Amino acid sequence: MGEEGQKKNKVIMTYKKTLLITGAAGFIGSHVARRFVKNYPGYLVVNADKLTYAGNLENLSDIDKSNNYLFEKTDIVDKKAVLALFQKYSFDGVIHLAAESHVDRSITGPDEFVFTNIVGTVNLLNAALSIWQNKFEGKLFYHISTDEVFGSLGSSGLFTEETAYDPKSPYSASKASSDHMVRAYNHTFGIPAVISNCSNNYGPNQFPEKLIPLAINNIRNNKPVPVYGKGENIRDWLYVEDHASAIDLIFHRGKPGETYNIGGNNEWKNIDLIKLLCKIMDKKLGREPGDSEKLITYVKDRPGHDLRYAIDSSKLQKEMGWAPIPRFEEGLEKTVEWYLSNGKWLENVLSGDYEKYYDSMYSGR
Amino acid sequence: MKKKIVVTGGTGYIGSHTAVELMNEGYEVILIDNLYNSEAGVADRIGDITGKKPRLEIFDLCKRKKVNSFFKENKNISAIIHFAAYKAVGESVNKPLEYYRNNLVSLMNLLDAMKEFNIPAMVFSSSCTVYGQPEKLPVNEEAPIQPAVSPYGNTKQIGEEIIRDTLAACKGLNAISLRYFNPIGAHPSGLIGELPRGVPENLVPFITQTAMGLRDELKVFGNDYDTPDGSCIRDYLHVVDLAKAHVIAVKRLIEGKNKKNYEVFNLGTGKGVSVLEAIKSFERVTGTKLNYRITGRRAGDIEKIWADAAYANKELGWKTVNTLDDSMKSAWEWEKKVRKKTK
Repeated sequence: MGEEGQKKNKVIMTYKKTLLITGAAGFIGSHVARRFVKNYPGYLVVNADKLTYAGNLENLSDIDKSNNYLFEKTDIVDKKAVLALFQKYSFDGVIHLAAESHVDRSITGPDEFVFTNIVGTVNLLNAALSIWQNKFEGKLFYHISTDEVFGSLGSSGLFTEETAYDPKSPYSASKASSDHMVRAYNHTFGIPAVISNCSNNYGPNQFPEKLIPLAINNIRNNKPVPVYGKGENIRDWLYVEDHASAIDLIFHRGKPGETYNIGGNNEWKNIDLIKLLCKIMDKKLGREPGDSEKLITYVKDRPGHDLRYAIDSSKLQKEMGWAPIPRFEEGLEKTVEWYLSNGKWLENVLSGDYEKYYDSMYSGR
Repeated sequence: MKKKIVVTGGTGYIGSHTAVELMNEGYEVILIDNLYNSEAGVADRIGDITGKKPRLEIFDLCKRKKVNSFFKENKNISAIIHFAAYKAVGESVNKPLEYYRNNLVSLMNLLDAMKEFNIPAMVFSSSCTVYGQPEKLPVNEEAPIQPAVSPYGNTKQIGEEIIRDTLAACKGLNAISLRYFNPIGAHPSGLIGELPRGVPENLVPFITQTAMGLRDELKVFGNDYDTPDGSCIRDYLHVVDLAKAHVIAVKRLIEGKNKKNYEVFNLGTGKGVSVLEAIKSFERVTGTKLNYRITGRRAGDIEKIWADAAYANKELGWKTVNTLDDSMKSAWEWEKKVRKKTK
């Protein structure tokens, strides 16, 4: 038996399950990977990540050395590489988080979203099918998606699992498309698949192009804090660790073929959220109350900016007993504290130095 | 120097409340949990309440090597409070081996570690289920142990026997088993409480979830029991009262005030409350009308049980201070915080 064969054998023999988490160097993915690596020492967690600008292995430095964690630099658009990965590890489960996720970027460059989000997902589905060979017992393909696939809401109402898809941006259209492919593979080929659609995530390790970390970073540096339009758009905010706990429950208890909504029960107008953030920052930075608020700058709205997203997660709460734990103010404070005490991380991701981190950690390994 | 106490299942419902009370009394607390049924974030919440986050060690107590290496690295532990266990009665009927293995192997590993690393004391989380349907009520500690109805209940009975026999054979080890009646409610801070996974098997989380609109209706299992209003009777005690009993029990062992090396105490209010009375209490204190319906009896439910807690009152100087209304109010506050309504 060759070296590879021995390694593979060892992997299969030592661990109860082998689990692929795609995009685990990203924001949400890193929290999910950490949770699985720590809470399930009997699982081998393989992180497949392309390490785009939004993926940063530094997010996982605390579990990097764990026995049950491995990193495989992979572009899921590369069909051969994906298949080879499945052949190497014979995954029992897939949690698919790898995606291009920033709406503004999807407007300036939709192609990347089509490749990664749609083609990448189909490559993973095909690889899973070819490895599992219709023996689906104990297997699961878990696709992580967004509530943006449902389109926009008026001032009332909630997205449920039954809401018809109505994506409005190239980003949400690409995610909707990948959701449909996952459902179609479940229906057509019988692949055991579940999907969850979540609201806006926030918390440590989020790339500072998204509203909350961007605002924190700008306030910290006394730079203008841009707010789209009048800041009237409403979003539901989900603490990333609560999202990870929901993913854990769904991975273990979700019924194949089902979809689950995950939300924070926590709607905020953008402007109210930014003002709250300013208050917290004033306190943490020892500024005069009201100082940070002066940085708020209204800018021209994003084209096609959805007014309101809000999500009904009662199915998940009912069936699995899940609930989001931290109160928003607290979660936000924790997030602010994390960014303030991880200035180095921020500088690194903003300067592209995280690539150096990758080289130092992984080149020649 | 602060006495060091290990709390297994420390991020669970009763474990987390006990950790808070221990820390309030000046103990140093180390939590052990495998997070099978709880969240690591609970340790943060304990920190928010007490001002200091307790250390949390995440591992499975069934892993003998892990248990030993933990106690090898952590010296001078004064006592273990052992909560960690699977606890769903219904599930245990379908997964008996998992329940026996998890609940008993973990206990045996801990007892081994106590012998090997000279940890003198354990407080064990037991249950009134060991009494089955007692002939005489209220039930005291002398009542006969009855054949367990579920594998879960049996793990508590066997657990007590394992402790008793181990202590008889090993000089220097001491333990107290606390037989709880029905713990309910949440910490007054609203930061920790009960969060059952899946559909709750217990009455109070089911009540609060129904009131919150998460469940369509509350089923009352049977109104043809031999009780004044026909519904089952239980002894509901506030989880903070229960937690305080653990602090007293630990102190008793550490100070050597125990009368025998193995003692058993009932922990309850001493007052039986019917399911329908519990519902009324909830409706009264919250001003919320509950949608409930009487259905047939549920298999495995006993008719009525409440504690004679006189022994704990006298020997431990402990009694419950919270009323049923207090407990219901705190359970509701917790449910509301956890499932903050969206607009």
